[in-house]
Amino acid sequence: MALDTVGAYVAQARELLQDTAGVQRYAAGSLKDALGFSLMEARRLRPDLFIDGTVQAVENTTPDATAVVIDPQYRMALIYYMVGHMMLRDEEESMQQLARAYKAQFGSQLVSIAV
Amino acid sequence: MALQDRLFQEIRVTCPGVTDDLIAHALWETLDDVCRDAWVWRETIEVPLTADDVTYTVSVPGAEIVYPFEVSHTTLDVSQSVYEFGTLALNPEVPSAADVAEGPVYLVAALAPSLPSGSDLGDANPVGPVEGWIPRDLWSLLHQTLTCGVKERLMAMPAKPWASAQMAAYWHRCYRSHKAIERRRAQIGNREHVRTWNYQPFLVPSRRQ
Repeated sequence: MALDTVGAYVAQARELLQDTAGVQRYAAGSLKDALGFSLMEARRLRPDLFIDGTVQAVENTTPDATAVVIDPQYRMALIYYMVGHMMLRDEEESMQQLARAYKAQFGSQLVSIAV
Repeated sequence: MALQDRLFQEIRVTCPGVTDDLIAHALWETLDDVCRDAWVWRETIEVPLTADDVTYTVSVPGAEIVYPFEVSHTTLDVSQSVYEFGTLALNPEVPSAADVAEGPVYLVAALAPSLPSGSDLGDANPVGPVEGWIPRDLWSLLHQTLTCGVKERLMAMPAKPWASAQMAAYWHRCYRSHKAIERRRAQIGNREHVRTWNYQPFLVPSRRQ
């Protein structure tokens, strides 16, 4: 999966969230919001990835076919942020730890070599 | 294979995770520095003469003059000419019709790539394709200098996967060394055995007098 579009990010995040059944637990709009937040966070940590100074706006109504412009080396980091962000809503302690781990993975993948 | 592909490949391997846009950005900054500081890009510019006119506007497309080395003409004495802010003022002689017939004035100058008017400084590559920034032969001549300079800039950045203060200091020393060699090459005009120093004058008036 090339992770070129908003839809591809949402589908990949659902894989890690084990949310691919017919009745889905996480709404597509929420996942798209999380993708938008991940781009904002990536802009804070790595401004060089957005060297023209603009951050692409992705919201819950953004069409699935919309292209997400970011270097392929850092696309998986956005997935980890999305997954971590969705897990934050769970109240179980184990899910909270997992959410923190995914968000930490996002940060370390952006600013360090070994993750 | 484009001329600068070798340089980009070297940087991609040495700085894992770096993007091509950022390499182009760092390359532009390094090239600007090395052209201004080490005078690596030198050209002879022809300035057509007009009789009785001593000031001429000199411009080079895609570049700006950072240091004028020499002004010369076949018959006209232009030994005290001055170049400032894009204008060449001939001195001490004023060109006559006979001088104009002898041909243009030659200005030897160090150049640096310039941003075209209207370009957006926020762009990673503000002046179009990298290959057109400097003459083709300079890409191979300056390969090591530019590689060291770009690595230094990239590795000195905070919070990047490839950042390393230790390696940034190492590449900084390499870059300075290469720049010094290029600067000396500019001063001696690519000739060997050129003396670049002079004896002190025999009688130096004392400042106390």
